[in-house]
Amino acid sequence: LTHGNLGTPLGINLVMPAFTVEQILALAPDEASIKAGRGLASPPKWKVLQFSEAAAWGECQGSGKDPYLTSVDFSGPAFKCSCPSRKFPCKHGLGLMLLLVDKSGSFQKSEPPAWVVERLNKRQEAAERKQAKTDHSKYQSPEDLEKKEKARVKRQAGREQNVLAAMDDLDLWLDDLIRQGLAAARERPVRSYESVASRMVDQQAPGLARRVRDCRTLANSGGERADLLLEELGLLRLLSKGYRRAEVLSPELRADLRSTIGWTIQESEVIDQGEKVNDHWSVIGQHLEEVEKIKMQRTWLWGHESKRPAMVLDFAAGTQPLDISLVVGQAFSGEVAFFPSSTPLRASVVGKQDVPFSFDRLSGHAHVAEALDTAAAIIAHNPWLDQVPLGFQECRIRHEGKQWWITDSRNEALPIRPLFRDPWQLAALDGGWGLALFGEWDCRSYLPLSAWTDGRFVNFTTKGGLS
Amino acid sequence: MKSWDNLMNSALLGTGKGPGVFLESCPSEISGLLGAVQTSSEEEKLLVASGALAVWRRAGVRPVRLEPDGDAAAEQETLPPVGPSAASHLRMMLSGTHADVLPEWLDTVRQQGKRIPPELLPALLNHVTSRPDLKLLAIPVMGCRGAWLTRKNAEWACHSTGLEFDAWETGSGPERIEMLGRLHRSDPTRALSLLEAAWPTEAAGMRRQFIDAFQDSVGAGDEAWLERCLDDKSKEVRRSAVESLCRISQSALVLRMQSRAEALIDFKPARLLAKAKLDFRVPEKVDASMIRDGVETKAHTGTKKLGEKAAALMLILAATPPSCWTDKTGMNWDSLVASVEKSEWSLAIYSGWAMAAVRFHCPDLAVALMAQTQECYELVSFDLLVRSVPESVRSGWLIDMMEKKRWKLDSGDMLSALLGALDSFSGCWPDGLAVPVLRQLRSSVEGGKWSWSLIKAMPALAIHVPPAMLASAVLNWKPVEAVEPAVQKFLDILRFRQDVREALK
Repeated sequence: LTHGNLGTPLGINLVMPAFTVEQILALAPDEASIKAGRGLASPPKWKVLQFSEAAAWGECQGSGKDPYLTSVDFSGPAFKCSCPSRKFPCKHGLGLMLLLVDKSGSFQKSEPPAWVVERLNKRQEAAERKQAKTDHSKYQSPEDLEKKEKARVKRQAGREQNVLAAMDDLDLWLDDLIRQGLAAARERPVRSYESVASRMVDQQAPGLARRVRDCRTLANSGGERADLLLEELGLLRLLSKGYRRAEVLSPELRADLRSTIGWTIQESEVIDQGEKVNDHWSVIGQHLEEVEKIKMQRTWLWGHESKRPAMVLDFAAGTQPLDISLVVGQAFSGEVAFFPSSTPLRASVVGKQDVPFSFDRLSGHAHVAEALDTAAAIIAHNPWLDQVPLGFQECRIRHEGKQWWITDSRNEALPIRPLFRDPWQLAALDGGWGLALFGEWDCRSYLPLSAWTDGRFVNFTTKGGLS
Repeated sequence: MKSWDNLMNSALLGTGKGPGVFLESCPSEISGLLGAVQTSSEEEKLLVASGALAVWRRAGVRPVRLEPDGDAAAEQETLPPVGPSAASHLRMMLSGTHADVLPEWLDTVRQQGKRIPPELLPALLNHVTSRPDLKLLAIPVMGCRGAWLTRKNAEWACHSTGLEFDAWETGSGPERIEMLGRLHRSDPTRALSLLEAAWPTEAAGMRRQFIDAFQDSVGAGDEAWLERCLDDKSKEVRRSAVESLCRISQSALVLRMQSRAEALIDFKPARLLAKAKLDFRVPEKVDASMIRDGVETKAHTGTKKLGEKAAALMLILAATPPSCWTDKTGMNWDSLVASVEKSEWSLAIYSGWAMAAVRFHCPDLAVALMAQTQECYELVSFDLLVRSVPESVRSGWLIDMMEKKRWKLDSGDMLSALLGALDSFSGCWPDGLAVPVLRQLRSSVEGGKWSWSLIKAMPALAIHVPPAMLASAVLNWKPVEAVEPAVQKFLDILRFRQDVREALK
């Protein structure tokens, strides 16, 4: 037995992107998975641990007769496991990944066995099918294209009508609300909002439904929230008014109105037609929330050359897994396609090259005032935007009474969102020396998502912790 | 913003109550825009104006100006931080997995002169708040940033700087106890007067803990007050008062007990052919004055094969300084322990001496009792006795017991005493002790001779295996099926400790 046959740590590090333990744990669907995954990150729990250029795999003895077959395809990372867990990645996948990071010496280099080859091929085929689909649309016969185009126009017209009907309903509801006064709105039963919201969903305007539901929350909480409620109602009315005269608006603003209404664009359409930017992208922050059993994940990217942010949105219902291909703290080279907007932020990753590189700082504004100017410009273009990404190059963390602030060298401050999990952690990272922060601004408070301090990147995302 | 307030008022009332006036007060940019928008109703007009002003407000948020804070930054760290794997281990322990390894981790990091990354400081500080015993280990690894952060949060502040005085009025139970103990060490008179003032309104449990809080710094100045506590309503308060009075040298209680003990002595000095011999009688009866001094026999007559009078003898000896017997007889402890072996009351005498050895810090007596008495594990408060001797002596004694005296992990009457003694080490066992422990443990779980108390103690045992033996200790276990999970858990801890040390290299 010589070392040449063994998978040396060096060997694995050459083929796998350099993950950290924290990055892998950030992929876990919940705290229980983290705990279980860590328990399995121990070589004796595995009968086989091997790797190749493309993947690593292992056999983990569970409670059943046969061991579970677990693999990680490096190109994702894409997890696959034969265990019955509905969590994704499952504890075996997490355990395997943790071992890859911490104990890569336990893996032997090997040719992939048949079950791993099969999985790799399947993924490859799926990718090719996806590619073929896009390619296919380019080489269709003119007749086919025409037919498809006709169907699309018809669908579009149908939806257009539905949405216009939704707008009529919305206007009626808004006018009624304001005629009776907001003081009375507080007394309205929940179902009066709910019935409007569900009508909006039926009329293919889920974005409006979400806003109506937000109004219900604001109305019920009363007090200072009355300001926010009136703002929201006013913005809704602007939306409907704007939508009715969409023909005179710029295509970008029209796109913003549509996306606010909840009119989704096919990702393939974005990839085909959207603005594409090739750059080194850092994955600098992630926000997770769950509303009515739908998980929503916003992942923020920062382009090093283009000096612009991009946001990748992902949804998952119930126990469905969220996309885990973008790992906070990692960076990649590749092409990103932006959705049409007057302030393009939402984007889709088109091509990710396998050459990972690490990033060494967070970009941001020097002063709060300057950051707010940027935010103002974005909000002015698209008033319906819920959050604006803001970075700060060097800010301090302050604590006055119960309120936490980020401040700049001029002692100008923004309030930190009360929901932020652990402001003491921010204070600890600051230490009076200052730190770089990235986060989301919703025009009321700032939610830090990540920090750069002392030559290190720190991610604040937790599973189910925020919001 | 006045225009917004006007709008808000109209909106709250509702347009049904009449048209509002708001356009006039709008900023000119907005009123100009609004003038150009066609609206068909009062409601629409109000909503559109609200929308426009909402954009104006949301886009126009300006920073809040705070007063400059005079706070200095944390000092520059001099220690290097631990690496990411070690940090991840700490995070894991703080979230409850293998939390028992935390003291060892903190100690190793301290020895290596490293510190933890700042983002983990709040979690560690919170943890230490509920585990004050870890404070001394935690402070050095928190670095300058830790000290700086600690000062910022009143809940943590007591860790480094000492509690402020108002903790006595407003603090939680543990904080008040800690504060009182600290104050007593620096200013006992003040501490006592605080306590006396609060005494009538405190619950019995708190009163006892307050007395215990300054047990280690108790002095002659406290005696009069402690003497009064002997008349307290609560039995636990009285017991703690006795304990504290025994720690005051020449206290009236100790002198009373000593004269009671001396009255029970039966001593034959050495003659030509006979060795000196010491024995004791039991008291004729237990009177009220004895009970007041803590000779409360009821607590001891149930479990330990002691009658009322024997228990009284034990408690009297327990409150008499052991030096009294060596002085009086001129014998050393080995011969004293040997000479009462045949006594009718040997269990009571040994137990009383064991308690006295702990109370009056007499390790020679403790060692003599542990080494010479046949069934020393039966002594009352044997666990305290074991803990009262230095760890080096303790391990030598344990090796002796396990190798020569057939103390076994299999089972047996001494098992719980043995497990308790093994777990009494503050850190790892010396190699010489770990070898027989691991050998016996292996043979128990592989031979199927195990008891539930052993299984329950295994995680605690895993914490004491010395680092140099971890690698070999995890190899080749073949436990019987019934104990497989417990052994796996045991091995998990050993492996985790190995990982932890590896990551700190």
